[in-house]
Amino acid sequence: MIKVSNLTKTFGQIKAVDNISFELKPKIITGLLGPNGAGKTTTMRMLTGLVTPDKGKISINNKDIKKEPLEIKKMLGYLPEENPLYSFLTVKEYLNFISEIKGIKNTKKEINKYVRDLGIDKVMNQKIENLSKGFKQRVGLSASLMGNPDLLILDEATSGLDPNQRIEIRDYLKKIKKTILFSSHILSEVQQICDEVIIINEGKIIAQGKINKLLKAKQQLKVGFKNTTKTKVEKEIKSNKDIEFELSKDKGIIWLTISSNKKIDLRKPVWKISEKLDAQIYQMEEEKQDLENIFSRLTKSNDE
Amino acid sequence: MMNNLIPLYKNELKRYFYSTGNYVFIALFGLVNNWLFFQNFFLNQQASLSAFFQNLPFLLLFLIPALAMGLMSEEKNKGTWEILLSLPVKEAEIILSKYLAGFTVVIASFLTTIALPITVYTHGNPNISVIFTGYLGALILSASYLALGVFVSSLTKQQTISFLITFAVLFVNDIFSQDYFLLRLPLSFRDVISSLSLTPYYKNIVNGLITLKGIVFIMTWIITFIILSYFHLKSRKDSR
Repeated sequence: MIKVSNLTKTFGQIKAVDNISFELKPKIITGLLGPNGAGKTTTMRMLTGLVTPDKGKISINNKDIKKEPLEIKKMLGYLPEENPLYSFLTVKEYLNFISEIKGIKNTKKEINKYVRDLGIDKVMNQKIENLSKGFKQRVGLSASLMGNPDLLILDEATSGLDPNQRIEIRDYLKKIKKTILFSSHILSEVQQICDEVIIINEGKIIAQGKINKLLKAKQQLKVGFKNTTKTKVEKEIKSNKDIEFELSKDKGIIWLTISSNKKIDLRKPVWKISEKLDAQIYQMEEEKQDLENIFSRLTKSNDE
Repeated sequence: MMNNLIPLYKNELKRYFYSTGNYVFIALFGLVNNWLFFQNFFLNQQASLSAFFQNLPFLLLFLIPALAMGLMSEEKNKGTWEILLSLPVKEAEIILSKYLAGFTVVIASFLTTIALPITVYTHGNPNISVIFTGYLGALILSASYLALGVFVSSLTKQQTISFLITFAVLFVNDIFSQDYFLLRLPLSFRDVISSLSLTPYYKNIVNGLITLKGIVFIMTWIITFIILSYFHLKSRKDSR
């Protein structure tokens, strides 16, 4: 069980992480999302012991990171954003080094397991500095997986990889069924790989939960009206407090996009407007929600 | 228990010995020392290494900051710091492994001067214990310079800055022992200032004079900078 409570970190005047709390469920991939500078990397670095929190508590399997940092680190696998590696070593030397530090007893067996799974057996005797980005990423991932950690922290694990390499890594992570905290800028990727998501902005958690639930949380409808004006439609829709709306006009059609967090039938106010204003409904369609919509809606207000 | 000291130390050694630059540097150190020594050795007709040990503090002013500059800074600059600190290693293990690896390279550098005592031995009848205390002094001085270098390197990501600061501090340390500087000071200050420099203690050891005051000063110097490096690392002040 991984538990983070009231975590806060300030750098000078900037509150990088502001009182965040979350739990990571076992054997589940949780996505950590947020715009640049939202506090994702700082949160991950606090979990790995690289950054000391000003306030708050991090515990893994009931062990506190402040009291037992080494015990916690034994339970962690970490792949930092830029995937830094000791590039002067060969892949074999690097993995041996990590194995020795992690105190793994059967080094050869452990290395072979990940080397085979991630397809790096051919480059074992090559210097890391001579490897392609894709191979380097796999070496970094193998190193983080060694010792079978309870929690895997992957910061932008697929950045800089080509689509095929991204799919390979993604499939592998899904297959291994581990507790993973996975940050990415590619929202479609998070949607595909993660079961749960934590969205942070300006150091605060603004949404968290199962992706499916978040996607269903808000419904949206786009309607085109004919034979009416923007002002009239605006006046009518404004009277409904449960609805958020956007209006635009294109070639005589008034386009109205409405959404609501409440469980109401969004078609009803549309029919009401149509009846009251004697406006013809030109087109009506449900707008599908994806993580991208949710992310931009949740983080937009702070960017403006 | 420091279970990870050995693997960390071995990794540090690989960082040095897998780099061509390191060999060039050691070779250069050997070349300069051998050249400085042999250009006057046969003229002076003295079977003694005193000229070598006299030049050494000046040469170490360049060698040690260059050896130490990458110890911590490089990890920070390349980001491997993040990996290292996420592994189950103690801060003390990190500092000591780097210090010991640096010191090993110092020893390797001194091996390039092996021709000097051999030549002296074959051409005359030198006092072996003087040669021994000379090398002992040289290693102790290097160990002291290196402790400062490790600390400075832990403060910055930039190797050049690390080199320059270490060099500057060691340069001031050396100035404090020089007569041309001390003679400009009021008499009462001279002893105090020169006792703050490592160089007089080094000269004493080279001359076979090992004093308690000297040992205490050098040990305090080394331990202080190692402990400062440890606390700086522990504080994670640079981590963002």
